[in-house]
Amino acid sequence: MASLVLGRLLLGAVTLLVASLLVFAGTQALPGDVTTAILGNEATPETRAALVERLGLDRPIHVQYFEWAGRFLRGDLGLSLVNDVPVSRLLDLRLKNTFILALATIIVVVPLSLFLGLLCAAYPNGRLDSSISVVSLFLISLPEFLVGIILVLLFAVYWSVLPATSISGFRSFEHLVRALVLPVLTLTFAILAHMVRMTRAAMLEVMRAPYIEMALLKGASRSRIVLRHALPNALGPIINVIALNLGYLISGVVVVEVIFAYPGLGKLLVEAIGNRDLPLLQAVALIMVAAYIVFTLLADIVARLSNPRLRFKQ
Amino acid sequence: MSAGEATAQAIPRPRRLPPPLACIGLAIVAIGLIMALLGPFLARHGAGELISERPFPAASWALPFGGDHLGRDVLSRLLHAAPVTIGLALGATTVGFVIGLTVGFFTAEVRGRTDTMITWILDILVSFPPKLIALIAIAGLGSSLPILIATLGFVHAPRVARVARAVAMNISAMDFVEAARARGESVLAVMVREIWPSARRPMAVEFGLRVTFSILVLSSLSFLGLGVQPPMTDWGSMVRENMSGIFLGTPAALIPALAIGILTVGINLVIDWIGGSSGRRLTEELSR
Amino acid sequence: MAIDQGISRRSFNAALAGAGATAAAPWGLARAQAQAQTPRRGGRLVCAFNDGASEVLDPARTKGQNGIGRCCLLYSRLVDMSPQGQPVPGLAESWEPNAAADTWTFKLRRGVQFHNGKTMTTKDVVWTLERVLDAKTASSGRALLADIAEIKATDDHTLELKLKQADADFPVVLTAYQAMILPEGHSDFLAPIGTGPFMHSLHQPGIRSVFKRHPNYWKSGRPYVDEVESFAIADPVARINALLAGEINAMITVEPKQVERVKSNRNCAIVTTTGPRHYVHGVRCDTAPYDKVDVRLALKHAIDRERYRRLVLGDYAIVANDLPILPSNPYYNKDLPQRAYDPDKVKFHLRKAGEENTEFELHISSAHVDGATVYADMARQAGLKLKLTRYPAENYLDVAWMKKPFIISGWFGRPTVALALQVAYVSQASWNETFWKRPEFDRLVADARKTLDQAKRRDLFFEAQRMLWEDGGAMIPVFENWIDATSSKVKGIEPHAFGALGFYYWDGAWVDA
Repeated sequence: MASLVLGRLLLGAVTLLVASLLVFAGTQALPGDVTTAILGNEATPETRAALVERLGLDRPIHVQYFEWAGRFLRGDLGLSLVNDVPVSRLLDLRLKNTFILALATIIVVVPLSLFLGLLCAAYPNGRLDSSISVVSLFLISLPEFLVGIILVLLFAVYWSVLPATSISGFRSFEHLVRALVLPVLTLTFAILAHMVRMTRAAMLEVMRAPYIEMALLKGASRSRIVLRHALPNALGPIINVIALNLGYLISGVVVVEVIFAYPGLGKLLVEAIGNRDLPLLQAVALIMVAAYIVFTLLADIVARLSNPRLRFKQ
Repeated sequence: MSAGEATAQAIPRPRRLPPPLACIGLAIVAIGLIMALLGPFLARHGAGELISERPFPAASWALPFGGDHLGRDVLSRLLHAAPVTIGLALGATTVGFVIGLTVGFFTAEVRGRTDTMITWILDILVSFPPKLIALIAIAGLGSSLPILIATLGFVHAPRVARVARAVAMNISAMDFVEAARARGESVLAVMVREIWPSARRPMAVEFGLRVTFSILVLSSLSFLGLGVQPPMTDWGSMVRENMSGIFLGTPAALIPALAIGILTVGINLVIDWIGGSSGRRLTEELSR
Repeated sequence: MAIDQGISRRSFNAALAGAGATAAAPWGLARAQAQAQTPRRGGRLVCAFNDGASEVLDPARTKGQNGIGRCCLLYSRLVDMSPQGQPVPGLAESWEPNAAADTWTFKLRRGVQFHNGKTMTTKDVVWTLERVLDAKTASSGRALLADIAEIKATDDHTLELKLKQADADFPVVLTAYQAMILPEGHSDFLAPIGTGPFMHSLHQPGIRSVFKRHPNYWKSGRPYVDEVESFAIADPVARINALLAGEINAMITVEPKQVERVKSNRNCAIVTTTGPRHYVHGVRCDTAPYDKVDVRLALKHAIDRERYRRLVLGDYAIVANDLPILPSNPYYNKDLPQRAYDPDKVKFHLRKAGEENTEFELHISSAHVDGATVYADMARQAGLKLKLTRYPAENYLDVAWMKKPFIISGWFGRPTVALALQVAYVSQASWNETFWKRPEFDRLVADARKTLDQAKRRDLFFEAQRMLWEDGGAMIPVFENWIDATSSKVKGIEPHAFGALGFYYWDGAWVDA
């Protein structure tokens, strides 16, 4: 078992390394454009040369990479080009905000999807199951911005109940909650369907075991079977599902934060791209990609550990 | 015909009319394809044609869906943009699919050390968040059509490869394939004549899933301003351009967004019908 | 169209002031608007800018709206700019040229106190100006003040500036923010000292700056507000939200399409005024087929300016007549008829040039898309084929500007006719993007610069504008408004034609209870 976990960790580490290479290569690939992009029309030959030197763009690319990676690991994320301010300072607040958004979404989605998934599994192929199945099919097909736009139109424009966009700096808890409602709702719609389907699938898989059939034959009620017999064994796969969707949250959050002007990491990423603010872009991109990799890695490890067949394989 | 083809034919096909939901799905997909092929010819106005004197005119006989932020006909622009949205998605998916399919089948057939190594590489590639990688790649490399197609293809290929490999391995285990190998048939022949006919259905499901993913990612990219660039337009860009109308209560941004949603729902309905619930589950699990 | 992004904002120097009338006048020019209500003393202004680019509180080297705005709070100019762009007395209470208009004598106001109690004299002015002109300072104001040949302080309150060549509009040059007056020898800009209405209180680079009232400001009784806080919210939508939520009570740059959101909120007010910012759709007059004047005229007639204004800028603009000068300028040639959308003339000129079937290629950046798209379709409907080729905004200046034959560029606009014509239209202008070279035109502008005779200047400028209008390669459809916003409780900010939010002249602003 230890070797299994170690193996996955090793794979994770290699993945992170490759990811850092990708992020670095992708963003620093075209130095000529970079300097023009950043300097705009203040780009004279002198200012461009100064910027090239400051960013270290004149050195061989592998040297640049190692310096960058080295600094990163030491916690020096560089200086934002647009604001002339250390990247870590910019990240601080945004990271917190995205974390709050993610947490709020999870608090809403997990219990809800668990409940719905269990319900479907308890009465598979029944009317409830089929209708939830169809509805979730619809929901996973929709782009996040569609859901976001509809919610904004309904709640912020037509009914003027909630603020259309989130505001930087939350003054009170009530303020925070009001600002979070629509973004959380949008993310929930996006993830709920996936989670319900996968919870249901995991539960059904577990419920195929013979001991469940035994319990049924012995006359145990549905709820007892689902909750007492199946759920504990399905917990592993379900946690796997949750971790996988956490990863999805990371990338899904980008569009949602832009629609609602929510000051988080996703929006920072899009802003950094728009401003061609390389150091900021690299830092945010790497953090988000790393978080995704870590969550999927966790999900995978949990899945393997919870699968007895894999756990005890020699 | 080969044993593979015979077996494939022996699997019962649905002969009755498809269930109502699947019919709706098929209708949607058909309309989408018509829009993609004939859109620009069906549109009453040009894509850039100014109709109204003011931004966001209300719906009228001349403007069935109202006008956009520059006073142009939303319906005409929707039709002009359809080939871009659908064509790009199909193109990117096909590129990734062909590469992935080839790699997946090949490694399933070859096995051994090559297989382990390729699987290892695939595992790494699949661990990257697809949307974020696409975002970063396009931020760095630009938004030209070839780059959009290449980036998305690069995102699809490893996932398709994993599914193809799993499917191929399942089929590989069957007797008729063993028999073909025993007869001394080449790797390529086995892949094409024995494995592919049985793999058609799950791979079709996978293709459909990949297409919906392409449509959603490409429109999200355009929505963020990183996808298709004006003056060329796709449905995602149309949403982006007209967002300011939302706060005025004008739903001009809603219409292209709905178009995207409806199309992907339709494709999903068809996939569900073709694959049956089991087929979808396999590919869903492996696609994540 | 987000006019503050892309080229126009990052483009050329900030506006300079005034159209050349010399006058000695007290600073308290009557302002009907402000007089209508009684200012209340106290309160805070909390303003959000759109960029945090420069954290430097050195007027010679600051840039971006946040930087300029904060310097306007801390420092004062020798010559201020009226809301219409005329030079009015600032720290200099009067000025006079010699007959040849190549030497200007400035009389400084007496009893002006710096934030540290020191009294301002010519020593401070000389030090400031020499510092700007010093290449080592690397100030963007160096080029603006380049005409100054010699600075002489004749006594503590009289300054003589000798110019390299005669300039009837010279005082306008000193309204440049780079020339704001510093105390002699003081170059610690983390503890800035100036003569402005507000003094340094707190400066957290990248986060915010706070300024408190200067009790001995030279306009006695002002400023009314106790404190000003400034920071940057780069995202336009987030900035508006902060205003709507009451977290800030002033902001710059509202996009035209967002105006409705602000107006629908009773607690907020839009502050807007005509400004000189404009886009030039320029062709290279040295390249075929644009070297034919008929082609240029066809292009100029192929746009419906009213409709363009409405669709692209939503009423927050005024129609322009292919001249880079605001109609409110006293020397603006109003005798020239306003060019209108005329498909017949378009076809006529194209046929005359033999270019009816030519497809003209317009090279644009992603910042110009909306306007260019509208122009292209209007042209198409008039019988002129226009193809749009787009470049990413970051590369556009490098790749297209001053290179491709038909481009769009954004300009801040200049307040004097001479400056406006010199910056891009005289033959040797370094930014002559239309490559239009007419020695006669150059002569007209140079002569007008040199003479102090108002009537003569008027004739010369009128003639120069007529030449440009008939023959030049620039199509200028509209002048864009400044659109900013404040809380409805904020009063006394008078809209200014040459800068956002009253060009940061906030000494007269107050906040109602």
